[in-house]
Order: sequence, then C-alpha cells, then structure tokens
Amino acid sequence: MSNIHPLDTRKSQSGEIDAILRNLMGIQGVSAAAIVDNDGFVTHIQRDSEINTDAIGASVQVVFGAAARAAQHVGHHATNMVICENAEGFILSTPVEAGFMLALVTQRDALLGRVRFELKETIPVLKKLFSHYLTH
Amino acid sequence: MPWFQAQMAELQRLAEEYALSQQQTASNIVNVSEKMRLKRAEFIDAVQVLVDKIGKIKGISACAAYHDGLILAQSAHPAAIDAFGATLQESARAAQQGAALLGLGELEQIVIVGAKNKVAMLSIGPLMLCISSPKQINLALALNRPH
Amino acid sequence: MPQIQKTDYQIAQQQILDGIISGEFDIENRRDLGPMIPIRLFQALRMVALGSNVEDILGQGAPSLVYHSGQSLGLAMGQLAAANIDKDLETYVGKIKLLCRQLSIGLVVPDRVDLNAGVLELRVDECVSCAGIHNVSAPICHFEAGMVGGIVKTFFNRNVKATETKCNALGDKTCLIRVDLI
Repeated sequence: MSNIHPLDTRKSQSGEIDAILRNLMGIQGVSAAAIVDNDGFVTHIQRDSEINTDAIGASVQVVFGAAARAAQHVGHHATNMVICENAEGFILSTPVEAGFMLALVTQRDALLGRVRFELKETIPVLKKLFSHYLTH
Repeated sequence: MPWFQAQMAELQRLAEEYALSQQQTASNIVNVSEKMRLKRAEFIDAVQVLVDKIGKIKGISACAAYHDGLILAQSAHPAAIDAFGATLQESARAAQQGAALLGLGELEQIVIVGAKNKVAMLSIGPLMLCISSPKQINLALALNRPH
Repeated sequence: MPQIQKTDYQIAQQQILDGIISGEFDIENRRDLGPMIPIRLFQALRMVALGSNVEDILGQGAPSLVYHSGQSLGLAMGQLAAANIDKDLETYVGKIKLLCRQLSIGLVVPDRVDLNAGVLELRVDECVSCAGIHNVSAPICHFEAGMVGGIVKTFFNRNVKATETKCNALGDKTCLIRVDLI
C-alpha cells in the first residue's frame, strides 16, 4: 500500500510537470515551455528570458481557439496542435486536459519535427498527470 | 555485424524500449512519465549521434531524420532539408500502399536513384532516416566504413 | 526605440480609461441621453459581442479573451485606486468599492482575506454582467473575474489567478471571485 499522502502526490505531479517542461527546454531552439489554463493563466512555465505571461497565456488560448473553430468549419474535427510560424521562430500549442494547453516558444533554429515529436509524445503523459493533478 | 547494420539494430532496440515504456500501466504516473522521458531522450540522442556520424562519412552528402516529414535531426546544414522531408512523406505514402498491395510487410527502406544523386530512406521506429549521396557511391560500402 | 503607432481601438481605450480615472462621468455629445445606458445594452455587448460572437470565432479561447479584457480594466482601476494611499489595503478596497458602485459594475464586498494563505474572496453583488440571467451551466462573469484579478494584482504587484466560484446566473444570488496570489 502506498504511504504517499495525497498532498505529496499532487506536489510530485506538479514537480513532474515542471520536469517535463524543463525537458522540453532542453531541445535545441526552445526558449519557453508553459502550461496555460482555460482562462489563459500560465500555471507552470520554464523560460530562458522574460515573457509577459498574462499576454502569452491569453494569446495562446485565443489562437488555439480560433484555429480549432476554423478546423471545425472545414470539417477537420478535433485540433491536436497549432503551429504558428513566425519570422523569428515558432509557437506551438497543444491541448492537454480540461482546457489546459501546453505551449512552446522556439527560436528559428529549432527543428520543427523534433519539437513536434516531443510534444506529441509528451501529451498522453501530461493528460494522465493532469487528470490525477486535477482530481487530487 | 557490419557497422551500419549494428547502429541500426541498436536504434531499433532503443525505439522498441521506448515503445515498451509507453505501454507501462500507470500505477505511478510520475515514475512512468520520467521513465518514458528518459527512454525517449536515449533514443532521440542516439538518432542525432548516428546522423552526425553518417554526415561525416566520405561520399555521403547529407543525413537527416524525420518524423511525419518534419526535420528531427540533421547533419551539419544539409541543402534542401524541407524538400527532403516532402519527398520522404510522398515516397513513404506511395511505398506503404505498394507494400500493402504486394504483402511486403512493414516498410523498412526506400531508395530513389536519380541521374546524379540518390537518397535512401530507412525506417527506425516512428522515424525515418534519410541519407543522400552522389549516384555512383555504393551506399552499403560507404556506410560500413565510418572512419 | 521605434515609435509604435496606436491603433484606433487603443486610442479609444485610452480616452475611456482616462475618463474613468478622472472620475468625471459626464460625457460630451450625449446632451439629451446622458452618460447612463440600459443594463441590457451593456449585457448585449458583454454576452453577445464579447460573448457568444467571440465564442463563434474563438471557441474555447473566448473566456480567456474576456478575462484578459477585464484584467486590463482592473489594472487601470487599480492604478487609480492605488494613488496616494500608502499601500493601505483597507483604503484601497474602499476606493475600489466606490469606483465599482459609481461605474455600476456591482457592489463589491470582501468576503475573505487570508494573506497568509494568499487567498482573497470578493463578492460582487448585483453584478452588471449576469443580473437577470439564469440557467447557465457554469460561471459566466469572466470579465469581472479578470477585473478583480487586475485590481488585486495592482495592489500586491504579484501574479494572481482569479476564478469565479459562484455566479448569480447559476442561481447563487451573488458572484464570488476567488483570487489566489501566486
């Protein structure tokens, strides 16, 4: 039987979420990794420079929401990822659970396939972590 | 076992280990998550190391690894990296259909030979490794002489 | 530094916020109709223009945009209330209550202030957004939540997360906004 107290469980899950974000930051060209809740609030973040978290959180939700709506209009059903290609890099956002999103900001030299692969592989785990995290 | 086959076998082993780590039941999600992350990093790092080594082999023009046609690892700045990815996805789709029709089994390799250059695409778990060289290079020989 | 040109919306926003900050509610070009509007018109703007219409375009991104909009107003109100009060929380809350009453946003009442736990709960009675609205399935005053978040954020100069935990439109008779200091 586990002797781990629920509060510790939540803490370790939150710690693991931070570890996942740190791992994403280790990929070449990634400059920020964040979890954004459904109100656009950044709940977890790792970054290598200052970012306006309020603005980026809301923008990520708004851009993802608009893209998901556009996808529905053309019959594409669920949106798994939105990739924003910019002059100086990419912003990738992926839904996690209960309106939470994982967002990555990269520099131009990031390898898109590498970042996208890591995101795709990370999401199932994050979904599980979040469903535990939110119910404890 | 020749050098390149040994490298590919090792990558396949790491890919399988990673796939196995994904199938673990989530009694302790934090441990499972950490193990998957480590196994994935081991696999991807090994892919990058192999790509770098192949890129340095005499006679090889470029080497890169792709996931869903998007660049995942590359030897020092190969030319036409996106065209590589697009070619890879197109070729893989056609080859998979052909393989299914002919009952060839899971796709392992595709080689396209042009009048000047050629490109070999090899499947490693969820990734594809792309190696290009001038047409006259014997890839099998070159790849087994890494130094 | 290159000069950034303000958009027309930003110019209008500046004038509106300046008007609020000045405390002068009379308005030019409204000699006959005056500064007040029917609450249903405000609600149409809030729940239709900044609600269902935005939702049509942004889907799940809509609440986030509304929250962010409310937060912008809250930050401006906070700056107004924070002036010349020497960081006194009670005076600050008093000025915010007065401002919310003057603007007919609602009657703001602090319900719980636990600074050790980093939690504040503020009631918004007679909330302008959801008064007279019923039978929704979840709290809908994201604008007010953002506004309260912005107000608290300005005072404490810390990141905050504001969540509406009770809503009049849910049948709770009041709107309760919980603010966690991060």
